[in-house]
Amino acid sequence: MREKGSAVLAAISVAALVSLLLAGAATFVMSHNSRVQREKDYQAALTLAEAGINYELLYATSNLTTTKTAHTAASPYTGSISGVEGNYKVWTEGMIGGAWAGPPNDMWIKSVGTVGNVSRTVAVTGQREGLFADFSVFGTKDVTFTSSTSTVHGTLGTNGLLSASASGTASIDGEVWYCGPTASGPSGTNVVIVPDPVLWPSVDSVVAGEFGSWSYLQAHCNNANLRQFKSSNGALTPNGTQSANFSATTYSLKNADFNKWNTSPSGSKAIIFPPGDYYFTDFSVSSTVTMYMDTGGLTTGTPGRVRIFMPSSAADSQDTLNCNILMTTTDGTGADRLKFRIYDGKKADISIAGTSGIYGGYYGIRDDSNASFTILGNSVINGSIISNHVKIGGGSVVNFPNPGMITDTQDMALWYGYGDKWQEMKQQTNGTVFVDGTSN
Amino acid sequence: MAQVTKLTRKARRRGVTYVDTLIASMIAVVGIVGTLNLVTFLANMTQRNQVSSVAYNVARVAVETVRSGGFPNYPDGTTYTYYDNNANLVGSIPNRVTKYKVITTASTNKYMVKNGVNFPSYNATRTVTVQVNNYPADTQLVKWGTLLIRGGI
Repeated sequence: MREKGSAVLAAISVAALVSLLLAGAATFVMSHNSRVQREKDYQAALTLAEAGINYELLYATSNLTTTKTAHTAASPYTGSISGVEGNYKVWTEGMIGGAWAGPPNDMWIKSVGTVGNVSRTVAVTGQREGLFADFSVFGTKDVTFTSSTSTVHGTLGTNGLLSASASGTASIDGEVWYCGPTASGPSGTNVVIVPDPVLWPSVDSVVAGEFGSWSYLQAHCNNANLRQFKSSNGALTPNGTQSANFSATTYSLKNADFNKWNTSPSGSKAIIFPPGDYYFTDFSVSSTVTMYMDTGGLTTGTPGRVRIFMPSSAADSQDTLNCNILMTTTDGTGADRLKFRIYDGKKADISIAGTSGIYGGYYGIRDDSNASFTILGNSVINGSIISNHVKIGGGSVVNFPNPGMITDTQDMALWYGYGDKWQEMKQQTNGTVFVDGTSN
Repeated sequence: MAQVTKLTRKARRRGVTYVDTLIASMIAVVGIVGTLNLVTFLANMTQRNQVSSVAYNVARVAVETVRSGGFPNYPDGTTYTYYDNNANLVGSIPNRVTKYKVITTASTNKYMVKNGVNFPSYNATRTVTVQVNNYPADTQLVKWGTLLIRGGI
């Protein structure tokens, strides 16, 4: 009896040992299976979260000229991809928290990708691409080549008509974009048919985004900072220049004004615009005078943007800048010179002529206006011209700078793209990575 | 009587031993079959886990391949790519070591046209799905998707 009992015990022991080993193996395999499934969802959730980021970038871009809004943390967008398990939830925040304040501010975009029980949250910066980043010339209503053979180096685009008058000829060595259903013009191998018009913010909208209002800009403009050369030993230095005694509340610049100022070392009457934001309602300068745009900061010691804003409320008088316009630079590449900007919101034509070579961005998108931006008289613009109507004639040339040179991170946004920061975050709603409440 | 009683006891003991052996054998058979089934099940699950692990890594490679090509460059339509058991690229044509078939589909909602050729518009959304199937069984293991835009992530 003792022997039989021993056999049973031995058998039970062996069975128990085998069962224990099998249970262990089963637990291990099942755990591994669960881990693999979760890992699969974990990877897929990241892909969906990044899909949400791209959705929101395009959403913000598509609203830049209308609502200027994007989804908020309180009202995020939830989307999915057809046939793919899971979804994404996305929203924007300001760079220092709170809601995104709209263009031209950069933004954080946060997106939660969820697959099964796994969620991953990604935050990236959305960075604006400036108004002058893409096109050498763009006319929302038309672009016309008016006389002689004028040249555009770079991409020319229009939402309307590209044409040449009887005496005008165009030479365009970049692509020609016809944007939207009403765009048309000559055909060619460099023509690109684009389904939708490119939407540009009006100058009023740019000012509202940058300053809040025209009245704020008018009250805080830098017109009083205009400088002139000293009467003796004049030079483009802080000591070689002095105040032009230009009133902060004077908003027009005419030929006669230059009689008050000293001559430049080259012998012409001159005015100097140090870096800053200027507010003008009228330009009527058509003589041998010189306007120095001190983007290189030679007279202040600090390079910076020289921006001239012309309000939509100004009288509809034509503006003319037919004089020498020179930009300064301390940068070996000359990039400083591209920091000059004119934002013309007046419902009146503006023409630039007789200049040997000027730099920067010229922007004249105005609501409900037939005003044109015209360059004539063999002018050479190294930069970008964006306006409702653009007229180029008299053998003028527009040279688009090398890629990225004219891009200024402070320009108003034309569209938003991925910035320079990507980070994964813990899920926002319950402080854990996974929606089931765990983090591992 | 004493002998009869002894035989009866002996016979009774032998009968019990047969039953015991029978029951023990049945239990042993059930146990062994169960054990073999469990081992087989676990082996299959381990194999499936390995297949899944390779599948989602292959899917990740496929998504990153599309992404690294740049927003406008990956062609619209469906492309097939094949991988072996160790996630090594076989190519666009399967061979005897192929274990995974990757089906990458890209579609675009808006096009620009240059010289009669369509390419994604500056404001287009491109939808990319990546499906990884067993090969040659052609059963779906993983299906992922993402969106691409100009200047996006």
